[in-house]
Amino acid sequence: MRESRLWAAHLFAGAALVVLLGMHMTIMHYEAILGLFTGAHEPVLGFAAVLARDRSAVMRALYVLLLGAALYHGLYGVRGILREVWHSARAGRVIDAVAVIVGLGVFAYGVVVIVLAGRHAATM
Amino acid sequence: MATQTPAKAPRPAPPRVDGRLGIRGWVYAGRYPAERYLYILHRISGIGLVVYLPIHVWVTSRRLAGPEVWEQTMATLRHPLLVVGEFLVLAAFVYHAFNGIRLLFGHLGYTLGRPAPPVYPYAVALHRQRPLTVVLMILAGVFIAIGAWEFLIR
Repeated sequence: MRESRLWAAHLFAGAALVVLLGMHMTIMHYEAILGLFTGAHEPVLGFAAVLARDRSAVMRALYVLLLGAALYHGLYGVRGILREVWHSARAGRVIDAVAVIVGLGVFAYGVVVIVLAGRHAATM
Repeated sequence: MATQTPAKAPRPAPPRVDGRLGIRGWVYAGRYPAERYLYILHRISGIGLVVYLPIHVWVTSRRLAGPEVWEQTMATLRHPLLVVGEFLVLAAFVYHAFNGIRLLFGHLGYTLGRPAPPVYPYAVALHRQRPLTVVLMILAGVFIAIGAWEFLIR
């Protein structure tokens, strides 16, 4: 039951990532095509554009969601692969523990960066 | 009369799983259909994206140090090798997303078809989903090609 729930969450996170990461990649890497529709010509990676995104609470919330979904989906996938390679119960427990620690660590670091970036942007 | 508990028997060694090929089996274990190789590429692209994610979080955190550090970081990222790496990340995402849509439909049972009597020639679920696979892979190719063009005109 627990495994089915984790797997269902993996699928759900994957579907969410198609939308969230799709938006992120479109904004960051399909600049010229997007500019044809929006008329925007400012470089997306310029500091001013980065600040503008950091000022938006919606963008910050989307970043947190994106980070959480990406970490869960990615680490669950890697966990499955590693458990296939090392399939003893003990190895499974170690892999699970490492995945949780890495996931929570990167998520916490990312959230701190997003929150601090929002504060910095508000003062500039 | 005191009863003695029998000595605990040593735990038996875990049974050997025969026929298990490990990572070698990813590449070849008989005649694999094309979808199997798409799945292997799905895993490889997924591992690449997972490795890239913490690096990306760290790189984007450089904006906290101010505009000069940010512009310096962006200048470093314009190194040709890193630009190629960035394009590979985009390609990996596009491929992983489109192939993921195919896998999602399969996992949820939409592309498996209805149960039918086993009458020769047998209906194979992979053949049923082949048109969807082809369409999704063409779309992935188109998006990767547009992405490559965007990198070239930067």
